Amino acid sequence: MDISKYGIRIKEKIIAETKPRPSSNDVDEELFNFIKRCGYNFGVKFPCSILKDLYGMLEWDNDIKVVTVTREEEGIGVSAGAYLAGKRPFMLIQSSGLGNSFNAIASLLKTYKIPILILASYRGHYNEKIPAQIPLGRALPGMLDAMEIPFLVLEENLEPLEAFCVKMFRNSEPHVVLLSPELYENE
Amino acid sequence: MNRRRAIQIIMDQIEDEIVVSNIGDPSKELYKIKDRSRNFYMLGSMGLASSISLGIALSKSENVVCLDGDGALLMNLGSLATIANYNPKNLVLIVLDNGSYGTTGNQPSFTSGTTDLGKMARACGFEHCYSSTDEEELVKAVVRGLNDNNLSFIHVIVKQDNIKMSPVPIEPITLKNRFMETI
Repeated sequence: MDISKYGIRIKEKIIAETKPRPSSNDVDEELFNFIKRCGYNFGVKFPCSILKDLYGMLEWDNDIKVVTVTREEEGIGVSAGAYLAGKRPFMLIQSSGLGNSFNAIASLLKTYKIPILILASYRGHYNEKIPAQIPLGRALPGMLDAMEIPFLVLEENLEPLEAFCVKMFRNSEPHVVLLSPELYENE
Repeated sequence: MNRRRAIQIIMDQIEDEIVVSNIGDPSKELYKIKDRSRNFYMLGSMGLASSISLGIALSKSENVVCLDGDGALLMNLGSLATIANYNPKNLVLIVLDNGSYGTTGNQPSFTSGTTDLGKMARACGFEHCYSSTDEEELVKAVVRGLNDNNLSFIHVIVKQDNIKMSPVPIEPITLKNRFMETI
């Protein structure tokens, strides 16, 4: 792991921390840095095989409260509560979990204008091995469009992420980022 | 004791606690009984009152009181497991159980059948559970819940007694802003 990527504060934490930080790839490192740089301090997650190393990194970080939920829709509620209480929350889930969450995104986040950044590993989109992931994966962009939920599909790099995040805070609305498996191919 | 009376009794004990109320008649009743900017009225997302309360309780040090219903909690039972595992000491989860979907016309819920939400909370890991069927028990449970500095679950059995009420007459964004500015 190259700690030169981190700010001073993070470096000190790495030295101070006795528990080994999980190994990770470049995409995880970049996502982690993005989360820290944007001041996110409350993460709500549901287990995901693609994001598991990033989860480990987040749990290791003392400045970010991480909550695991039993279902993504529940996570929308927990994130909304954290936002109302002054935190800057984000979610990390699989894209299938958006299907479990649409009413809550509409009737809670959109109704009250609560900006939650939902980072979702994009299933059913590229080289998908699980047939059950494909129908929702294919429909998802159309569904997000129909619900007027701004979203970004990241396939090559994470560059557009920060500008998208700025837009989210300006609009004070939930925004979705779909992380394609292609991102993790060029490592 | 009907739910309006139960909410009245609970609010009589409330000082500066944060209160989150379930969608439908409970929010309308709370608004009518004691509107305050530290109340968050849910207007949609049925089932998520306890989850919103958990998010607040994990982010703030003051007490958070959640007024949930049996039908709503049945919709999000996983929340009991999540809350019990994170165990926020400043959260009091109150379920006003009328055994029915009162807002939609008193269709029976499964808590009027074989399901016991108090046992379910215990099984999920809640250690401080109270149940009340009358006003005296409810006052005792609420006082303990608010003062004991433990995650607690209060199961309140109330009568089916929904009257037609008008919606909370405040815009959602206004509700959010005044809530966030006060807490």
